[in-house]
Amino acid sequence: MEISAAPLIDVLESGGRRSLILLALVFGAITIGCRFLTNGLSSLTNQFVQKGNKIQVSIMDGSPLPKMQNYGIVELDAIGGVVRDMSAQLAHTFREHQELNHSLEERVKLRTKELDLLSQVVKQTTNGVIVADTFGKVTWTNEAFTKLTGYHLDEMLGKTPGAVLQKQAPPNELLENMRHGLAKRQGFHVELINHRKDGTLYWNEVSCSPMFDKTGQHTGFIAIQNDVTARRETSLALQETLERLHLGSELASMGVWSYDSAAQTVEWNDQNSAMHGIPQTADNKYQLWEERVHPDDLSSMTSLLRAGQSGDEIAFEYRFRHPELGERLISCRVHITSVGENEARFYTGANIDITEARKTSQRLANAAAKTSAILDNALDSIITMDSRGHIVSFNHAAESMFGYRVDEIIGKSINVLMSAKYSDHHPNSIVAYLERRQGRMIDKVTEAEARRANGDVFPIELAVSKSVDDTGIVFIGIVRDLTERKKIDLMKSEFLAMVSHELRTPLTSIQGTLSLVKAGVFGELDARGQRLISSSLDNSETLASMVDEILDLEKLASGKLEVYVERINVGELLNRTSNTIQSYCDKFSVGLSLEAIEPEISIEADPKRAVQVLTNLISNAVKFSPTEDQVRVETTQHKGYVRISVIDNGPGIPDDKHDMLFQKFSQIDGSDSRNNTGTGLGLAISRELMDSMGGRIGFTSAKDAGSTFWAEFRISTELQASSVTTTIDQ
Amino acid sequence: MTELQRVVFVEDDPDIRELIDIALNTIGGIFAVGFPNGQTAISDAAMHAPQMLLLDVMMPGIDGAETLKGLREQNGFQDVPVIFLTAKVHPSEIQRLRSLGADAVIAKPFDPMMLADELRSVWQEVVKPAI
Repeated sequence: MEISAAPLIDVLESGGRRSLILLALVFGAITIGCRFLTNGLSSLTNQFVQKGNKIQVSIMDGSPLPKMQNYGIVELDAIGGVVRDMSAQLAHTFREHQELNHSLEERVKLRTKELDLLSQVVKQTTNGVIVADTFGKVTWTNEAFTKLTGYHLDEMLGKTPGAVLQKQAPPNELLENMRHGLAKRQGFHVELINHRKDGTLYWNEVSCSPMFDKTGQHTGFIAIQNDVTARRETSLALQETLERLHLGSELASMGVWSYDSAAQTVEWNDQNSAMHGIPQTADNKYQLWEERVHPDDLSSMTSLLRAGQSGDEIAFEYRFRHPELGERLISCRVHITSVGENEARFYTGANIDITEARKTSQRLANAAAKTSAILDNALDSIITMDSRGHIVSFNHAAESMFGYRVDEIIGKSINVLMSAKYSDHHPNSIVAYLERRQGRMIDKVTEAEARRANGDVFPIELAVSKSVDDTGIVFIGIVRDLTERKKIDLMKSEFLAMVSHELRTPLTSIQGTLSLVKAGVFGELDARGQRLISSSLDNSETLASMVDEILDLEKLASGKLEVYVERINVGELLNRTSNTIQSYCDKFSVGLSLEAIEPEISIEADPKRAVQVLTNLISNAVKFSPTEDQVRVETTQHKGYVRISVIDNGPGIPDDKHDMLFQKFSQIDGSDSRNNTGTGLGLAISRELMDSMGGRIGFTSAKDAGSTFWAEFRISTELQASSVTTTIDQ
Repeated sequence: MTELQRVVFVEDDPDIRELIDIALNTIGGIFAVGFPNGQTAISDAAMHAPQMLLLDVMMPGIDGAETLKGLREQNGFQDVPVIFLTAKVHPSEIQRLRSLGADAVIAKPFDPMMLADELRSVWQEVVKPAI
């Protein structure tokens, strides 16, 4: 307490020292009193502070509140009561808050734990996760999504997943399903094809769910994506397999059945029903089946099945009397399963009707036996070899021809049968030789040299064909020994040379003599003698021509007809032809007119053979022309060829004779003695000659409208005359 | 240019030999001596100093080719033109005969009325001076 000293000083100054002393004593007493009062108040205050601390501790730890002391001072006791009530209220409130706080902490911990777990799940799941807003625009994706699609979050943000992942719209039905799920906020579950960022396709299983907040407000969608390509493919493959199995079972007419021995019941499919002619609806299927199985087979198969153990697979065949198809042969495979102590047995089987297959197989076996017999009795050697050139089969004729027994030649290289000319050049593989020369060797007949076991080399004709069987490529060689044929060819050639000489020599004598007589060397003849001599001369010339044609024919047959192609101009060719044929025309009193357009143009021909062809055409025209008529020879050019046409006004050739005209020995009209001269070989030989000269021959004709025969020769492109030798190789 | 005046021919067939004789001596105005085979021709042809030889190809004993060879070995026959007469008229046969030295090949049957002209034609071709 602070008391101002100014008034006292004024009193002391004005009242005197006593008053001052009295006042000092009073002041001292007051000071002491105040001092006591202050100490008492201070003690109470300390007590209150201590109580307050205790109350605070009690509130904090929940212990009972301390009792407030009664001080006997009304105000203090009142204050203490208020403090005690407030403390109790405060302690209660504090405990409530403390409990609430504790509960909240627990919930936060739990939520945090859940969120951590969810975060881990979302992060570590292999499923792609997309979170989208209510408009379907992407707001978040996880790493698995990026791994699955190749797209990162920043590439997806604000876009609809379909716009990025689907280059082509899904099927309408699927699209509708998705749109409906989104519109109704129900979500959807679909499988569809998506595109990755790298363009590859994958089957995507999408589960899309709507998201709502606590108030039930729709906040967006979450979609879980899963690559199900493998499952989808497996599923499709399985489905295909099942379909194939089903189809195969139908196509193969495979009967499938099961039999329960305990219940004595049988179940089978429609194919089995049809196979046995027992209706699916029959009550006594098993009995009907048993009655129709051949008794011998039923007995043996029953024994087999009874002897079988669980897990065994037993195969057998049985004969069965089909009510409509008669006796059938069924091939059966049965699987045995035993169940339980009483050994109840289940049989599951698959049946195939092999009646036709067995017949076919028998027929094939018979055919193979026949083929084998034919091969063994063939006059030609028939040898087969594998792709390495090792001999696989060797028939009897080959044994005789080559001098090897079949058992000593099988497995050996084909080279042992070939002459050194062939085997030395191709010691490792005759097959490679055949393959390389395939154009000339395979499927063609060629001549070669072979070697017998005794070392003799002999000429062969070889026809090689290539085939493929279950062991791979097989070469089939048919070999004919040409030794005898070569001898005969040589003899024939010598014979023909002899015939040629022996026929021509007397003809030379006859023709020469007649020619001299006709020319009057031995004196003049009368008209009758002249006519007879002329006729004899003509006949001898015809005879000489026939000899020539027959020799040409033989050369054609043996491939030895030779032509020498060279440049010759058309005018010269026609002159030579005219000189050769003119007397023939005169004989028949038929005129010959030759009209060469551009006679200087050169063609490619063997002059002698070309003259032969043209004289043949003209002589035919003359023979069939009316007396005093004219045969015209005209030339035209067409596409690199010069066509020389021989035109007559004869009777023409009926349509039905056209085909036979160029055949050997063909004569159109056998009744006309004049026209029926010659061998009928002229046109056949002419065609061969034109072919060998690179030319063409043909005709147009109609009955009673004359004929035009033509020969076309290639226009020469060579600047210099050249000679090309061609031998007709038949 | 020297004219063709003397020819030796060899032909085993007597009729044809006679025909050639008539064709050349009587009709053609060429002095021609015929021999029935190669041997006699080889031994006696030189006596006639022929300007040209006409040889049949197919003959018993030695054939035309052998006859030519025998004659060519004699002095004075190395450059004598030779024509073969043959019934074998294959191009290959004609080629073979030309390779033996034939200047021409005449096919049988031949026209005796034209034989001398054919020989003269060959003669002119053979002896004409090189340009």
